[in-house]
Amino acid sequence: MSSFKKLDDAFGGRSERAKLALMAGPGVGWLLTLILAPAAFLVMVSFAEINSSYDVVWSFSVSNYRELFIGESGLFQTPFVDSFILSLRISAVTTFLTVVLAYPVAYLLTRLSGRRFKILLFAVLVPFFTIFIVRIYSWLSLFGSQGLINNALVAMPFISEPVGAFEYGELAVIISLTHAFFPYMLLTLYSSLEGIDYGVIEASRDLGATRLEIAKDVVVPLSAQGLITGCVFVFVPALGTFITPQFLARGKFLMIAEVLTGRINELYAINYGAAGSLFLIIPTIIAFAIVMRTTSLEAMG
Amino acid sequence: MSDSEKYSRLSRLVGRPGLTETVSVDRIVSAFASYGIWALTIGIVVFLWLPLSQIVALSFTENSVLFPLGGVTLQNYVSLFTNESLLAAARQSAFVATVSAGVATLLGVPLGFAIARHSFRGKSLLRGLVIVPLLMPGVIMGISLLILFRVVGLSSGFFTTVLAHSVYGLPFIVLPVVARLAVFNRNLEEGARDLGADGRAVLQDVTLPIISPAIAAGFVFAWLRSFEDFIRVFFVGGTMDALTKEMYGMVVYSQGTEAMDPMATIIVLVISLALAVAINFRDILEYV
Repeated sequence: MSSFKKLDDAFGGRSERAKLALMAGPGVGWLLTLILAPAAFLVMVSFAEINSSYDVVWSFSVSNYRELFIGESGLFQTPFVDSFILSLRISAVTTFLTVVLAYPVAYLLTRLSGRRFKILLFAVLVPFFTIFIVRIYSWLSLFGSQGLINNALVAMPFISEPVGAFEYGELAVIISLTHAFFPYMLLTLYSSLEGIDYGVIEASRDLGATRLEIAKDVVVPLSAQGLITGCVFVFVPALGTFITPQFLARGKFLMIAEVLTGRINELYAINYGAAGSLFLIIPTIIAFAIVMRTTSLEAMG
Repeated sequence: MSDSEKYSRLSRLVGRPGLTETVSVDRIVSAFASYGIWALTIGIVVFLWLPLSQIVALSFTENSVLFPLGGVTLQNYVSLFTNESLLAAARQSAFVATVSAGVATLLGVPLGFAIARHSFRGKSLLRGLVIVPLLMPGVIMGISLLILFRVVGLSSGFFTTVLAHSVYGLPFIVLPVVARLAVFNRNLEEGARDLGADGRAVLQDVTLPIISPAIAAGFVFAWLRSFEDFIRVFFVGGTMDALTKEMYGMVVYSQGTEAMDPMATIIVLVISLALAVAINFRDILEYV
């Protein structure tokens, strides 16, 4: 026993390292081969061409990028650019709406305890855990010219025909995305608001700050970290969403993920898809940098 | 300047509750805000539940729209439980989710330990890499893995889907484990060791029982994320069946959505029950 122990000590440094390699190795390998390597391939393929038997022909050409940005009627007159701008707008509005809606609820959650806390938590979390495709589907029969909203409106006096805003389209996509991503914002805001010492708020109240001043000068700055993380976790997935516009725009317009998916699925243009994907990777990298700067891993559990 | 003016200016600066109207205005705002916050919250809860409760109602009615109201029926449930392909797809998705979350757990728990307890070169890079699957849009993950599998020559199907979903689920395991270990009182391990437990016994009887709720929560999240994923399985799943693919087909190609509503209802009910139990037993916010 003691000799083993000695042996173990003698090789302490190495066995420690071997142990670490054994612990971290497989997981790291997984991340390298299934996240980093494919991302690197994506960049390479975006400069490559596809031959008629759908094999990748490694080369270096910018023709895929040219196809993204230069259309028949001129620079930036392409479906890709249109979709990209539209997707950015939809995600930005969605993110803004989730912030506005989630702040008060998150604040209220920090002020509640016991039964009331549990009930409110339950009420906001059930939609969160209901699978994504069901959440989006649940808006399907509310919108549309024969949807519940328009039917209800037409039943009212003074409104004789379906209102365009409640047809399938941008509003439907934004509302359902807000509905789907609201809990991400709520939970990140809640966890950073919960960290605020309530004494600070009481102190500023004692010193005569109004509610608005407390919100503006105390609560928001102290929860800025959660706010930023929440925005990232809403904006990025909203930007790349596919199912939502498929269900609720009904072909009225295409978001970026639909353009890329369509090209790959119908024409097997993975080179075009790869080049377009990079423009979704760039926001992801920016988001990643923001999260790494503002949040520690320990706080993200 | 009269006395009362001085007082009012002073109180605006110092804000002692006292004689001036600024205070009473603040009080009105204050009362308004606290009712307002409740009203807003209730409004938001209605907003969150409205579409889902409407689906539940639809699942029991004859019409596929709420107005005009049709009769109450269980026909939709019959058509769900006789829709063999939908049920098979649900089973397949559950199987993929279980295997993927299992693989993610086996890889993620040791990785979490390594990050939380060891210092090594490139650790900060690794900490960053771990959250990438969480941030990477599904469509990017799908396209890039499709390209990888094609270049390597792996044919799409169950295996490739498990690869994709297990790396997707990895952060859901690693993050709670790291968070839990960060607040872990290491004196407990020291104590066990002083009392004569060897490394294995310490791990088995002290460390794992304390962090196992974090692992379990991570498993549930990884499972759900795999189960609800559409876009990754769309790209790398080949011809393999998946519940989300079936549902997508039903809605987009309108192959009759009468089975959708009861399916969605069952999912909402199962989730509600599980969540109600979880909320009553544990502080689940620790894990989300």
